[in-house]
Amino acid sequence: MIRAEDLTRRFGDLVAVDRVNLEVVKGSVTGFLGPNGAGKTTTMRMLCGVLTPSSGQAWIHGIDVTSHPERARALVGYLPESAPVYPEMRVREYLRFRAGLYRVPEYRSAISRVVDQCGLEKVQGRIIGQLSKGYRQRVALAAALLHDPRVLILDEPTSGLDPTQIDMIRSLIRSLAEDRAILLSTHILPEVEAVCDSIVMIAGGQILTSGSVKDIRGGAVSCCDLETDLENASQLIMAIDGVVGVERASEAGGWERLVVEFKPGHDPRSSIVASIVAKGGQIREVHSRRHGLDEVFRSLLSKSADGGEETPA
Amino acid sequence: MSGIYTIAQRDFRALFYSPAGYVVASLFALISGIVFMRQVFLAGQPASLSNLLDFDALLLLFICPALTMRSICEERRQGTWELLVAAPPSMWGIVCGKYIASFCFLLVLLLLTTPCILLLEIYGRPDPGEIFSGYLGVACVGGLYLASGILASTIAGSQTIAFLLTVFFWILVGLARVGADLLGPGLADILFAIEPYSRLQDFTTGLIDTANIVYFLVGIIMFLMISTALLELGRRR
Repeated sequence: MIRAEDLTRRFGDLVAVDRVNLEVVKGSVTGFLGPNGAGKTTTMRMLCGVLTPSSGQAWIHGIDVTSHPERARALVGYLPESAPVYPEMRVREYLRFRAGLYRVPEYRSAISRVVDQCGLEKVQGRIIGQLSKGYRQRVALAAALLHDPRVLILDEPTSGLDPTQIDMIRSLIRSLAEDRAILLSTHILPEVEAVCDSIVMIAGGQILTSGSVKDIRGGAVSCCDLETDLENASQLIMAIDGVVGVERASEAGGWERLVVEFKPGHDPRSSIVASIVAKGGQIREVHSRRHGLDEVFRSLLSKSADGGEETPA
Repeated sequence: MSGIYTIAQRDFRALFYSPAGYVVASLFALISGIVFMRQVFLAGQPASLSNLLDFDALLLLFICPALTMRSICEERRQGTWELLVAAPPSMWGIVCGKYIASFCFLLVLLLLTTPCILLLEIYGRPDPGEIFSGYLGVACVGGLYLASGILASTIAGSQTIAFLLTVFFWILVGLARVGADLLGPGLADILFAIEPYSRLQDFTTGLIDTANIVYFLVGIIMFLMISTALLELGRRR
């Protein structure tokens, strides 16, 4: 539904987005992660037709955004970062205006649907400028949903909302994903875990990694807690390939609790267990710990920064 | 087309969201009324609106840039521009929608002066052809000012700059008529060729010259096309 190939955008000498490839399929929510200035918003703007790519191509529902921009734009529901709305208009009047822009045929029922979906019943007659930030955000989201778009591109859809509103928007996004492709950018990593099926991580305009949330998080068992009664277990474990450090956390009643740190990309848990058992030791707990997404993200960022420094100028 | 209509409708209504639209319309009607009573509606004067329409065209030099200065600047400032360009209407459609909105407001202003025609009809025998051509001329001049105002709003970073840019541009062009000595013959000749006010004189005296109509139409379309091209360039830059 959303596909980008080598999408690149330059602003003068600055390469804001550098050969980005991504694909969001129908029925899925993809989280677009990256620090400020990573190129998330620029990529989204290119997908929505707000900016023209310097090179590369993008397709919305199979339609090339560069050669058929108007047709492609009609299929996208876009919520920009600051959720802009006309402050002087009333909610319903604004939705009516947006329905006209997208030529929504049954606009009255479409407006009622989005008012209901976004919980705007109480404020639909009010002037937008007098609403709270949370409501304004929901009005902007409602406007993006009016024409029942096949593709949703949401730039930080929950920013500025309170926890209840965040929950509501997240469950709305999940329910919308059933028959749509959704790309959403966010800084909030727990949000990605709560809402997204897959992730695209971007920094410095380049994609660091992409894949399903499970793969990215699950592929990174970083360490484990282990309780054993074997004496000098730490020395034995240190000798195993893939272990970078062992720390004694506590000792009680002859049982030692160790924290074993693994080399990135290694998971020597079975070797550790086998060596201890071979030496006649007992194990009463092995608790593996995985990196959170934030740790994965930080480690990828630092790797990309190191790589950048090594590259000759 | 429906996109153009939707944008035009919203922008036209936006002129009445604040009291500014009503105040401008009321003051225009009031000042036009005063000029009519003092300059036109006098015993022995010919039953012609040409003095009033000349004066109204002068007022429009300041009113039209005020109407258009918001059109694109303000959308950019509040971020709604991004939503407009992400919607299906083309850039030309957006620009035309905004132009039509301001032109409709101009027509409302001109409509407010029509009681003057009634008074002339009651007390004299005005020439309907001359009145029609006069109004057509003022609409053309106002339409040209509005189109240039849209271009200024595209270029300028703020509403104030957009307003001043339009007013000063037309004052500079107007110098060709009233102060050609200041400009020197070369520049004065060029500016005189694009000066709209002298063409208005033809209209207010009842002369509808095809050359003048073409001049205004080409001018309006040219300003709007340059705006569109610059905005489209903004997508690519």
